[in-house]
Amino acid sequence: MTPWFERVLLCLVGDALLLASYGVGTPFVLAALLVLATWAAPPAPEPARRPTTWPARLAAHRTTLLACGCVGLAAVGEPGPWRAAAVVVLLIAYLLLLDAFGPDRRRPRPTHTLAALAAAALVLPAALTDTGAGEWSRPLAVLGILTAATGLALTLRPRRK
Amino acid sequence: MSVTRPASEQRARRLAAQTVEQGRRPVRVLATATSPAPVPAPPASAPTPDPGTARILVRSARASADGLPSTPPSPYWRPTERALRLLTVSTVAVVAALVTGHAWLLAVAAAPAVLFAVSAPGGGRPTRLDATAAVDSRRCFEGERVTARIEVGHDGRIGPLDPTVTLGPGVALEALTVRPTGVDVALRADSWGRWSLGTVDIDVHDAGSLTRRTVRVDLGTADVFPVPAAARLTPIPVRLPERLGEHTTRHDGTGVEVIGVRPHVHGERQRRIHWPSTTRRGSIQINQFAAERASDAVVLLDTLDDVHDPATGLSSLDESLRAAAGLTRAYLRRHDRVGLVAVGGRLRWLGAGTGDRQFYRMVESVLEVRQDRAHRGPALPRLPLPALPRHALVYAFTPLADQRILDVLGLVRDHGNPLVVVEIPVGEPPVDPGDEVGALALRLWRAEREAMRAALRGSGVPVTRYTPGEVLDLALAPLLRRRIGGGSR
Repeated sequence: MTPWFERVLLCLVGDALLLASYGVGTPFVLAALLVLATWAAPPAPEPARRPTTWPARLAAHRTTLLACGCVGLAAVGEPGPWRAAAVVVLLIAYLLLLDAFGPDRRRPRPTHTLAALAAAALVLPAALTDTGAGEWSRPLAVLGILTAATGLALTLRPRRK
Repeated sequence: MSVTRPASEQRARRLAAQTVEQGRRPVRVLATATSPAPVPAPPASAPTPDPGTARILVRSARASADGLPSTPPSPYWRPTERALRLLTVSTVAVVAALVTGHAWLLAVAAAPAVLFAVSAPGGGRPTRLDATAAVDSRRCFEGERVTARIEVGHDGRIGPLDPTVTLGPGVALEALTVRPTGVDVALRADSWGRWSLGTVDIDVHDAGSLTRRTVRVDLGTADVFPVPAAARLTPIPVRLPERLGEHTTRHDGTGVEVIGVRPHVHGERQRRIHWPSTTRRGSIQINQFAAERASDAVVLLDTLDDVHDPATGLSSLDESLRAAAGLTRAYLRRHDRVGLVAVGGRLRWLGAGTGDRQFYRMVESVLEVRQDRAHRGPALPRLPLPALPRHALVYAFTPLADQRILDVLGLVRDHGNPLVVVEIPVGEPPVDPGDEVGALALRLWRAEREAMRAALRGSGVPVTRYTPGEVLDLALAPLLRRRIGGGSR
């Protein structure tokens, strides 16, 4: 696969992710966001000098900023179930493509891809189900997330032999 | 003084052509240490490197421009960009879900979190990491390839290696190959000297590419020898030492060149009888042979200045040593003794000796003259007497850019040694059209150099001019017209 094709593929997925996250809007804003996403989707080339200023550092990490920005755009909107599912799938695809075509050139394993999709498929229907949550649900969610993060950290902690 | 006769020039050109046909560099590899497997050479068509290799090359060029690192790399594992990206996206999604109350964003957070979790190496991350380098040859000629094979030692499982090569000054990176457990680099030094090959920082990723650690390996130094200028002519002085050699003298001796016949004296060997003369003169005549003697030569290197030709960029110091090395090899091939004196920074000298080993000793003794800038001052050291054997022919390789070399050459003349000045051209300073002051300065500069040449020729010192790229024989051919006389003590 040629580098040119890889960049085009990353741009297309990045644009689609942004469109799915932003939804319908004014054409001018949409065009500006698409231009921004087209610039930010492929990884930055190796800079001639190590970036020292904040704009240069942000430009070096623009793929991460694009993914986080899309999450933020989707969060401030009110996407329907199908658009939410599209955002999840496109974000997973974008992250996997970045692994494959990014600086590390790390080909993702099929099992890892399936695990990510399975996790999203497990959480998304449950999250979209109407459970009649009240005031107590948000602290409970924080508690659950902290518990999951702690368990994950303990599991991944390097063990000394 | 330097007018060339057609016959001698033709002979010189013929010898030069023969030298070129025989090859300019008969000795290619000087020493071989532990020989690792050779690095595959890049194809001649030089295809575009893949994106990963191109990224390494760009980063290596940047690191080389910044100079050799002075601080050691971090001894700790640190997160990679991939780990930071997955964790950042997951954290942003969780925070957005909690802030906005959109529970579906937890699905967005779950995917990168799972990708992070399944990539984590767990207990397989190595606890011991080191790197060792094996360089195939630390002595080579200019332009030759030096390959280094770097092996990463570790326990546990490691992921891809991401090297950054910081090259030393005067060293170029020719090829780079990243293997699963090491890196092969092919380097090239384009000019002679004792160069630091540089360092290689290898980012070792864990099996999941979530964390990385840097190990550094120093490639050490390499002695890069100059490519000797092609030379075969060996002019000789009037007086030669009483030592058997290959130069024919005017004295009677036991050589192979017949210089005449003379009447037989009782007791002489009958096999030397020259029968045609014997029958013609009616008395026994015997062949008379010339004596064959060895010669002593001393190479005097002017390292007072290193002048770069503005047009070609050639360094006078580089060309001086190349020419001197060619002349040294020509004399050593004829079993003459050759010595060396380098004036400019620290005084470096080597007594006259013979054999191939003397060539390498001489070159090794001046490999570090580039680092002598700190020792250069207005006063010149005195020439050591043992460096100038009596009646040794002294060749001074100089760009004639510093008038102090005239003082040194005067000392040699005072010592009574025959002297030849081989001028290394340095080009002329560029002057913009219409710059009258610059043009006047250029005229003064030319006049000063011509005055130096005239001063030398006026004192009986032949001045020849060596053109880089041509064989040295063209510069030495005029010296074959007659033997070179020395000064008087």
